[in-house]
Amino acid sequence: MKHFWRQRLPLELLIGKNFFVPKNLNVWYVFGALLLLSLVLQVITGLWLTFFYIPTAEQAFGSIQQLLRQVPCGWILRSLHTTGASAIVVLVYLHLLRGLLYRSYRSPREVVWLLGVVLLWLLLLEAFLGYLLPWGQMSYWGATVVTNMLSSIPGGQMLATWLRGDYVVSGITLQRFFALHIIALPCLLAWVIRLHIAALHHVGSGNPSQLSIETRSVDGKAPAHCVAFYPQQVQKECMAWLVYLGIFCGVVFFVPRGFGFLMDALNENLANPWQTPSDIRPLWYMAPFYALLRAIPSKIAGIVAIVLSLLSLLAIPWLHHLLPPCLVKRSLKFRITCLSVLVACFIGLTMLGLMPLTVWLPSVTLSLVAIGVVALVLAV
Amino acid sequence: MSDPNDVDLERRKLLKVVACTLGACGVAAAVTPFVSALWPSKMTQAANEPITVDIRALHVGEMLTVHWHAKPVWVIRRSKEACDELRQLNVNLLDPDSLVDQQPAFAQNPYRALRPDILILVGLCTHLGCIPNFMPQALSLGPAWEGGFLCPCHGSRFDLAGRVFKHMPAPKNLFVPPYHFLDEHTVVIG
Repeated sequence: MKHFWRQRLPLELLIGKNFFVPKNLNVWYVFGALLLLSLVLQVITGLWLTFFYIPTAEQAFGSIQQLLRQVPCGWILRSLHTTGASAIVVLVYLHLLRGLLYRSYRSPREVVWLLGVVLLWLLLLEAFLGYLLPWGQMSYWGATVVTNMLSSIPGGQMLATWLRGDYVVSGITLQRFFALHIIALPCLLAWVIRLHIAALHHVGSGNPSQLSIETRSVDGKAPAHCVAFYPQQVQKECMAWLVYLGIFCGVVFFVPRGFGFLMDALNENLANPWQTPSDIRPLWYMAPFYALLRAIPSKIAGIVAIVLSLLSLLAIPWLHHLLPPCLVKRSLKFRITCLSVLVACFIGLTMLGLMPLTVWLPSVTLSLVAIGVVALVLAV
Repeated sequence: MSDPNDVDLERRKLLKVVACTLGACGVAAAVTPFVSALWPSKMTQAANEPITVDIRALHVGEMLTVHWHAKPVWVIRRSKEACDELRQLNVNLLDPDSLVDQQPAFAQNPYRALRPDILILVGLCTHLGCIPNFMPQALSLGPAWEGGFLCPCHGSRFDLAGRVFKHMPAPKNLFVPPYHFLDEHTVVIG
């Protein structure tokens, strides 16, 4: 029976050969597997949400209220999806921090890093598209602000109209974003994830001691300092999945609103194109970018800063070539300090983005950005 | 079958160029319906007709919001004092003389209006399209505040003629739509 299938289906091509990983991978190396699990969960809960959701301006908001109140266990499906979105962003940042900490982006793993950065962009885009779908006040005005960002480039006004299919965000835009959110972006994400993993398997995993370890096997047995991905690393990852699912379900069942971070109370008001809410607040994972936009008193410069902050991640694998020779050898302790400063700045920016606008906010925001950039450059 | 070494490279090159060119044309033609389908439909475009507004009931200092072209349009009756204030040159404005093309020619004056007392603006911030709040009360936003508009999204401020202040995220004055008066109490916008 096994023989029958093996002759007719390239099973090894489909699931890949077993490969080897360095044996000193620590807990920082589980976030990739956690992300894969979360993304699969998003696809499943997302599919279930589309069974009930109606993507029109008249019915979108109501159909979600109905899902929450009338459909058995509907609220669990919705919470799993909204919490999952935030969880993915947290996991992505931890995964990225691992990359910075152990210099996973250095030769020969530059392309793995580049594909990872593209995945970060796609995930942020996917989250933004999905946030319009509940058709609440925050959904509506968030989409308005972001699509209008295009209008600062020449011809951008036309491009924004083309994207929205209307002169302002409307039901036509909603339907479009829905299609992109459930079909286009997931397909694209799946492909780039496949490339990200294929590139990783091709060059082999890095390791915490940052030594060059040959992970390719010559005779099918584990090379020196390596263990087989299956079952050794998979067992570790299953353990991580269990712990993660425990925390995740804890949030879904006990704090589904996440103190306003996962679901904003303002978004429980139906979108009103004739009234911008006076107390406007972005979702937490957009807040650092929002802080940047508010701090810079020029439309085009604010948007350039956001685009640059996302693009500059691409330069990280080559950034250390720019450092003066005296900084080539830095201790792990020094780099951990720098990364801690970077993380503190990033959290600070997120908090500033969630605060109401005050006089001192722009200068604090810009100084945090400056400190963060220096810390990042010293840590690469 | 011919000898594989006996390939006419010149002909091969020509074939490649022709195939690529025609292929590119084909792709461009195929992409056209996909791109054009995303433009606003005829129905969306048709929602762009002039509207008539009765301003009889609008008192001094009040604002009326009407919907035109799927956008909010404000009609505001300004007081005599507010109009006098607008005439004085304010150095803190980015474009005090309305030089940037954000209004019909008739509104290129200190009031940015056909009639000084009636202000008509598209109520969308020129930064990223939020609807600014009407803050007519002087001093409500600090000692230098003479009344105007404050955008809740990114904090841009505008005076009572919709002119943006300096050092704000918004790059331009608020947009004045085309309009004309049928009589003293009736205005047609669009």
